[in-house]
Amino acid sequence: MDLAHVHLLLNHFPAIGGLIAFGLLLLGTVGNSDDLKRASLAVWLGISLLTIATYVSGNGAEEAVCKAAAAEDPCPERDVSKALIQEHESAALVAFAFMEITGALAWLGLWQLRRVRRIPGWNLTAVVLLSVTTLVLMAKASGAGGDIRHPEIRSASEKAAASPAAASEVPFARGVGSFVMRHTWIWPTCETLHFIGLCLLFGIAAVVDFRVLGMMKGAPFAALHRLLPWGVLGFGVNLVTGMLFFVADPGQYTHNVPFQWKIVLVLLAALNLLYFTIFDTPWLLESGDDAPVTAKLVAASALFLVVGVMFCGRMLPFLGDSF
Amino acid sequence: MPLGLTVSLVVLGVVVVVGAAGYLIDKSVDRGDQ
Repeated sequence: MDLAHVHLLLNHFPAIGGLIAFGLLLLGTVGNSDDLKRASLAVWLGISLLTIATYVSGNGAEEAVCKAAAAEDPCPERDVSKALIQEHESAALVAFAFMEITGALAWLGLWQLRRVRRIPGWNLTAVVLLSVTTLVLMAKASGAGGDIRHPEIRSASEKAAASPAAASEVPFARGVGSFVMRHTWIWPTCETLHFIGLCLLFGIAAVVDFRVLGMMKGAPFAALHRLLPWGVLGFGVNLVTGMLFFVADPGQYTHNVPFQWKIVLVLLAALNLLYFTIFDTPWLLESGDDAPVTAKLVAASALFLVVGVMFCGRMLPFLGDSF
Repeated sequence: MPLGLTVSLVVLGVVVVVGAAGYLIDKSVDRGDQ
């Protein structure tokens, strides 16, 4: 299985999963069911995580369908248009950004539901509005992706976009990439913020996981649960800065094995966070309580995954070939 | 603007914004905390 397979496998999840999550959200809102709203928010969070892997596998898929000798060359294959690939990449980057904001607010809603037993109206309204916007943008990105390999479904405007003349315009995603590369302050700024985000994320994860594993038993889990948004903010900083690195120079990450492992571990670590957000078992840990074995296993795996993410990130130039 | 100053100012700006966001999220649960 190569990255093209991975991209083809994953690229239906954002649009179709988003539709399912939106349907659950509507049913939950109309029927005033917190369970349906919780299910919808959890699906949004899961889909937003899968969208990370979907996006970063896209460049590998591009290399599989367009074997141009240089990045600026047109695709030698008949019916494969570089301009349409770049249009898809740009549409996907915008849809990706909205999907991640939706996922972040969905997680916040889950956290608030656990914390104060309701999702504030502003959060629910924001998730509904962002859901609609994300679905529209994701449909556009999916449509543009389908056009790459299927000239028979291209509209007149898409055929014009596929022409070599259209290829001379700088597409949005490549524009963002060259903006990052052109300004010398952006890369060191993002590196600094990436490390600050990492410290925030690992610091919170360590405190919460150590408590569940049996240290600081005097602290009830609910007190530490309040710290989780800080860890998620750290993850958000790292996602934004990490994606700026990737969009600037995808070629140095796409086939880098530690990078591929890093993405897998990021997704597993983020899903792990869901356990500490919505499951009853850790939430019921009072001062002095010992956590059950299941909770301890999840906490130990969370620590292992976060350390694994840091290890793979640090090894990009050493075990992989970045930089 | 020199590189070091630009990097420092942007990093400081982002840290302040993220800090303010975290503070507001934390405060939002004060009244309804279980």
